[in-house]
Amino acid sequence: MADPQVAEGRDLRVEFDGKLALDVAAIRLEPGRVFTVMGPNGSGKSTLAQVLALLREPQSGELRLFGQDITGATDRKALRRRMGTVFQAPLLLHGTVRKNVLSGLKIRGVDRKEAERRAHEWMERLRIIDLAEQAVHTLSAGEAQRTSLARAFVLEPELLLLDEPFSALDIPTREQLLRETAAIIHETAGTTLFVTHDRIEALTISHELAVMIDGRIAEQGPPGKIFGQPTDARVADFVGVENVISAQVVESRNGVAFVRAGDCQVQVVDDTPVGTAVHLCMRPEDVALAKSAGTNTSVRNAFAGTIAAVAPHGSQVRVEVDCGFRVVAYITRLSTDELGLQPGVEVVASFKASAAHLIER
Amino acid sequence: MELLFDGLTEAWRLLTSFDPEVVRIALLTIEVSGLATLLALAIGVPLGTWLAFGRFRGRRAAVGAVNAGMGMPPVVVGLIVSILLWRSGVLGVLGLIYTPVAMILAQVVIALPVVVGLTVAAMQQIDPALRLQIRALGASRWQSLLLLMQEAKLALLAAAMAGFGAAISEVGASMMVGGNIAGHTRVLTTATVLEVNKGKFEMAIALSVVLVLIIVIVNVILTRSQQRAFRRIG
Repeated sequence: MADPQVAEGRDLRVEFDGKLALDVAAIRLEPGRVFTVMGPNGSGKSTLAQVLALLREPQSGELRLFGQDITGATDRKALRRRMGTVFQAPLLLHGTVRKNVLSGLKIRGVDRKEAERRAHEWMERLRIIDLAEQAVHTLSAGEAQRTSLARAFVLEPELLLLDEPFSALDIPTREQLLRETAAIIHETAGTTLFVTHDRIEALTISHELAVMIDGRIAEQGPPGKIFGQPTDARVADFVGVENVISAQVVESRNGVAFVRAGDCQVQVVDDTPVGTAVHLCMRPEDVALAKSAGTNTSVRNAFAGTIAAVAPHGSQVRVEVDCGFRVVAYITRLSTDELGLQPGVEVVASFKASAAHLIER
Repeated sequence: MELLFDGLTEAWRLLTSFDPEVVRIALLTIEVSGLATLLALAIGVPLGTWLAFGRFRGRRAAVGAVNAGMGMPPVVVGLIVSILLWRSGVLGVLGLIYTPVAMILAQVVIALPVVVGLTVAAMQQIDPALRLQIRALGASRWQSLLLLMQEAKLALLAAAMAGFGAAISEVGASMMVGGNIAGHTRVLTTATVLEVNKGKFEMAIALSVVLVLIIVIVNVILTRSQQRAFRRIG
């Protein structure tokens, strides 16, 4: 017999004051896998996590946890004790780091010696052992979140729920803690529901990714698929496919679709039938800018245009080019200076036929 | 001025000589008000927590009633408890009127709204997300209550101080339900009233000094514990 799903939900629906907050047709968390729920603020991802953590009652729907049907009569406390939850804020109890790491074990009535051994092991693992006797109000944000993570990991939960645990941290701390957490999760092969709005976090940690928009799962699949070739325009926009252009397939030959976007014809490796109205999608980092068309023959799409806007974007520069349709490209600061990119300058924007994909409108 | 000076001198003499009557009255006062405060805390903290977080119709009205109850005149409480405990009253069969137990009951009724009202305020100041985290940790109702009490420790100690203050300083209810019987139900407040009525101000001042001393000592102990907790938890 196959392993039962750790969690399985169907038609889960939550409303706040008559307003729909969650409407998930189906969700399954498989043993040993990291299921990430991603979405913009207010998309219902934390509500979904709370429903699965039995911290919020859905108005309707079916939920099975660890093979058990959750009904009004079920002992929810016993099921919660099989889970570990970390929220965005560390939410520590007054007292020391050690007291907090021990708190869940104490609630579960774990033998004191055994609890101390496990707490010591996880405080060491999360590198807070030197802070064990320190009061939590003296901790930095990163140390506090490490304590919160240790408090969850020490429970050796059958289901770990991480609700944006890194989003309140500064970038270096976030990246460090993300790496360490991902390593622990993959090493312990614990079933995890990970909620985030951060693309890098989602890519680092997930086996399966669901993007939520307006309370519903808009798209679900392996992270590479969702980030590379989203099939929903709202998902494409959210996962950073900034170029989502309205277009139409006008010709199809040998697995290549010829698409009309504005006055231009774009070639895309895609077999969408002729006449289909589509969104032409590509990631800004896949678009190159040059002063002239050049000789790179593998690039089937090269369009002359004028720079409409230039703005810093982290370590790169976001350049918007008008070639009859608007294309966004991320260029390094060095290249931006070398090419003298600024509004009004004429450039050629190019991208590979395999770098773009089509979503039916 | 002379009256006050004489009173203080007499008070000093009574205190330093451990006057048996004063000692007995002081001990009964501590016993009655201490027990009343502990009972009010035992009932009031869980009740206040339930009122703070419970979801039921009439919760707001109940909180309003509790807050109004904080201003309930002790004389009215004394009257109600007397009617209940009177020999022909609903609880008359228990034979509690004019006993220390009756005084404890009356003081519980006086201190309870104070403890409940301050507990509601203390609990509602706790971050709702922390309550969610405590549930997520798998805590039972009682474990949650204990953890929330630890989180609200400073404010709950303030509730204990206020409850004790309300209990020990009332006079009307104790007079009515206790009867101010010498050696049986006479406490510092009722004794002070009696001594003033008799014109024995020296004794009244001495009793008042003892009363104030008890209140100060109890509050110093509770405040020290509160401030130690504050230093620990920041």
